[in-house]
Amino acid sequence: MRKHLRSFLLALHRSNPVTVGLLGICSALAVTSRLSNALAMGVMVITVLLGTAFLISLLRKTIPDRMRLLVVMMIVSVFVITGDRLLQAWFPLISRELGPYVGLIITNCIILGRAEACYLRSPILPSLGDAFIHGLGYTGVLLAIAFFRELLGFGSLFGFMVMPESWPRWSAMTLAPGAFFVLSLLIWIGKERRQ
Amino acid sequence: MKPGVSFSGGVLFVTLLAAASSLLLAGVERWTAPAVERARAERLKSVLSLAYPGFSAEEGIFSSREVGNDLLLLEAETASVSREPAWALIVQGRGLWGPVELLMVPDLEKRLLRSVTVLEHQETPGIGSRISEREYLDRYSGLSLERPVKVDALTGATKSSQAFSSLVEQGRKVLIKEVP
Repeated sequence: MRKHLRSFLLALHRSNPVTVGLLGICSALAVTSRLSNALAMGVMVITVLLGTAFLISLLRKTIPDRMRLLVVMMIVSVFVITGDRLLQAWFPLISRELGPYVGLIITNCIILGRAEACYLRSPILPSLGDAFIHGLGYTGVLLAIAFFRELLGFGSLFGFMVMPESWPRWSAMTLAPGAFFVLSLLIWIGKERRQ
Repeated sequence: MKPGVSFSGGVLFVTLLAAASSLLLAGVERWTAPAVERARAERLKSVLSLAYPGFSAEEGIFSSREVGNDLLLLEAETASVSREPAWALIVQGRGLWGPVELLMVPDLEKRLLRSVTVLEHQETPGIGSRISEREYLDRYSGLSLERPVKVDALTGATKSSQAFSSLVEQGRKVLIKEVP
């Protein structure tokens, strides 16, 4: 069990789509000003990845080779649009905060990349595992960025004030450049540790 | 992947998939429509309760009437001490990239624009989307209803903010004409 957990964590670290693959950077910068938004985005991407992995892997023997990109985009779109609608209906606040970035999951290269590299060739279970690890890796990085940005920029975590009232809010952290700083630090640390 | 499928076979597969997807999405749309509508009404109420302190989100069955193309005038009785009716105007129009919907609340005594709020927009994230941020919208509060709306455009989002300004101006004209 310990061994499995170890290899799982290693895979999370070694093949992280954001810090290693440098994919999904746009959304990682855009929706990480608060932890709640990062979590919602992460959950959405994990769900879309799992759904896409399952369906593509299930259909992989019937999907015509030269139309595979079209088919992958169509399947991803169905999941994303459905998810977007559900957010609008039951989590309107998060939906408004995430804005167009939910819809932009369709163009998230993590999903297309994994579909092309894995789901179109592998059986269902390995595909689902791959989807889960990559989704979790993405969510982890988003949460890490959001942790520092919300803590330094707003003085709160998940909306609860944890810093004293007098905390000088780093407004740079609430803007996109703040995300650049945190993300590049994370990528740097990850690279150093892998070597 | 299936190599060497004939072209017509591929087209058939994609067509079938598209039909199934459309059916599914239509189903989702129908299923979530009431909840989305409810969320929208909640948002309207919360925006109005910000503008009218006496307005509580529980009350407020609006009477609304259309006052021209894509303009909706709302009126609600408030339980506040002054019993002043809550007026608001919803304007729908074109932004730079897609439809924009905004809510304008007038201050009738002072003949001012009390607040402008964006309910929906599709401008570029991080650029045109700044029209929906408080910092920009606050430039509109306190403007006189009697004079044409003039607000500086946002640097880097000139077209989006110009389109937005002209929508507010369109709403202002309706407000002075329709509201007592």
